Amino acid sequence: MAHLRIAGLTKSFADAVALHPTDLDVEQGEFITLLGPSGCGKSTFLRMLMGIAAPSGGAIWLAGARIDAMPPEKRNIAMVFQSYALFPHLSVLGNLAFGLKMKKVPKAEQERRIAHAVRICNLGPYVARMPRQLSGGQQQRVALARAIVMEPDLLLFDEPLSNLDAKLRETLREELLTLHRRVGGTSIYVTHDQDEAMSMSDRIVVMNEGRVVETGTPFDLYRAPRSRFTARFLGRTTLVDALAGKGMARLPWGQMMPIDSAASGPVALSIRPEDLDPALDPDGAGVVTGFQFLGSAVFYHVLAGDIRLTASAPAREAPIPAGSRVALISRAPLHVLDDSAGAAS
Amino acid sequence: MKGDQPNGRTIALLLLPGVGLLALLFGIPLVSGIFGSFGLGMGAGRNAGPTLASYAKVFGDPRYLAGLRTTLYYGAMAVLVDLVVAIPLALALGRSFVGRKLFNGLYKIPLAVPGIVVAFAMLTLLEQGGFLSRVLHLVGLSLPRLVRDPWGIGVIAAMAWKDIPFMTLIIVGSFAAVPEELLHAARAFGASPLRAFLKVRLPLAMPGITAAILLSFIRSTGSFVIPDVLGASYPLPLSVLMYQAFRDSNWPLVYAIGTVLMLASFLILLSYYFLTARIVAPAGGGGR
Repeated sequence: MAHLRIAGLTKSFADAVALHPTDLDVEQGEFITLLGPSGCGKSTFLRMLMGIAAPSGGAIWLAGARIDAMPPEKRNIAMVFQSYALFPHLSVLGNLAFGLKMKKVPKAEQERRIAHAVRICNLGPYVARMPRQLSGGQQQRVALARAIVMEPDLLLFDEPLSNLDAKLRETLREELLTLHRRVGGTSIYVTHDQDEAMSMSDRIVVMNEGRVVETGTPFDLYRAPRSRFTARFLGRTTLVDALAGKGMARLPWGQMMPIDSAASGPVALSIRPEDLDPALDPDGAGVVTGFQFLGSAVFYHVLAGDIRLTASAPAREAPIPAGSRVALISRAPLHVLDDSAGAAS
Repeated sequence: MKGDQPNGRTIALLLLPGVGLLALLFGIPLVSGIFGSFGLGMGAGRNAGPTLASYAKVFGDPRYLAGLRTTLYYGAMAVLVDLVVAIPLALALGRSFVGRKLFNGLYKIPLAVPGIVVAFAMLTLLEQGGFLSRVLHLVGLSLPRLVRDPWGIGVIAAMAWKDIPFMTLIIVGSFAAVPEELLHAARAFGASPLRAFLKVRLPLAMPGITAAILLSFIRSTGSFVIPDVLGASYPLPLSVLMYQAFRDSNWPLVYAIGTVLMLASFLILLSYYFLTARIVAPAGGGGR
């Protein structure tokens, strides 16, 4: 059995369903991200794992034991909260020792674990400080250290980086991952930030409106999403209706391009910016209406027929000026979405 | 920039409307009261000072020392009863239950009842031959002495009845100010609901609770009607003795008792600041 097994987990309130029956298996050591817009049910999911919210149905097994009816203090799960939730009346040391005292870990073992967590989270100079005397990033690390000392079967993260500025977020993202690998724990990470999800996860669980939309590795979900929701939520894409046959598709502006499916008939394609290479060509199918210079690449907004799409090019040469006519050259077969029925709106 | 620094006179002028009014309305009567306790400003007559006669009486006559003890005893016991009722009540009000809204309104009623009404209501309820004793008599029980009793049970009951809503109101607020997420964190890190309360919720609500204790205690030291109506005739608390001195037109004694009462309150206030400063900022510095 998987390290964490969730079967048919549901949460409904009097007037709404917060989480439709959900199954998920997580292996020991995996880093899983629940990704979705706010209100998609990911927080409810996490609260049920932690035991703060009672499920309306379903079961949870962790490390071989069924835990869904246990109170939170009996589960061997630790959590890093969005607001950090450090105890403001306790010093950093007091915060780190809190859980160990509650779980009656022997004194010598407490000291060993705290010393270890202080070292790997670089908290040495701050152990005697009160939480209010720390910066946001430092508080974040204390929250993380407090979770690590518990040596939990499962570590939960509730949007832990969302209150920090962009620069710090990126640094901490890497620190977090390094830590995850060093500690070797199993982690579930909740976020609405797709960059975070893609750069950190072994697998991403995409959620929307109380349901799991799709589960997969960041690469699979980005390159070959099954649903429109995933295609749009992860990265930039243009959804286009096309007519497919024999491994090719006729695009709305008349061009034929290779696709990654043998489907025939009307299909919906997800065109990533890097799928198309814009090349200056007075007879090209598209017109550049503007561009975004990102440093590592240039994103061109191209109007082809009546379709607005984004095509990218490496930023080694001067950008193609707006108003230029370009040909769109396909770099790789375009991806056909599973739920192709209906118009790609 | 020299021009940006307002000088002392400007600051004094700017502060005058606020501080001046306070000094006028509060300071002058206070100072004249303290002067009066030494027999100053009384005009000619039997009490003309300066004299320490009134203080000699307050600290020499066992009636007054017993009075100070009684004042502190009533106050401390009332606060104790307040806490025992108000904390569970505040916790209950923080949860949702059927009829919570109604209850939330009902428990505040004593706030609107004047002290004298409380005193007489307690009298008719608790005295020998009163309502409670007649009800108990029906089932063959007799009521112990609760009014004008040596332990001041009637006084403490009435003071607590009046103060519990006030105390509860403050404590509900202090508990509500503790973020829910901290309690979840306590639970997630292995604390049972009781330990989450004792280790996180209570310590974080403590500043509010101690403030409520202080205010409630100081209110009770000034309470006069309740001990006068419900208290034993000896020892009397300082507030009642002060009123008796007033009936005897012994103004210096009134002022001396008042000054002692006030000093006792200030001492309590100071020890409160001293204690909370140590509780709230154990690591020192950098506080909010």
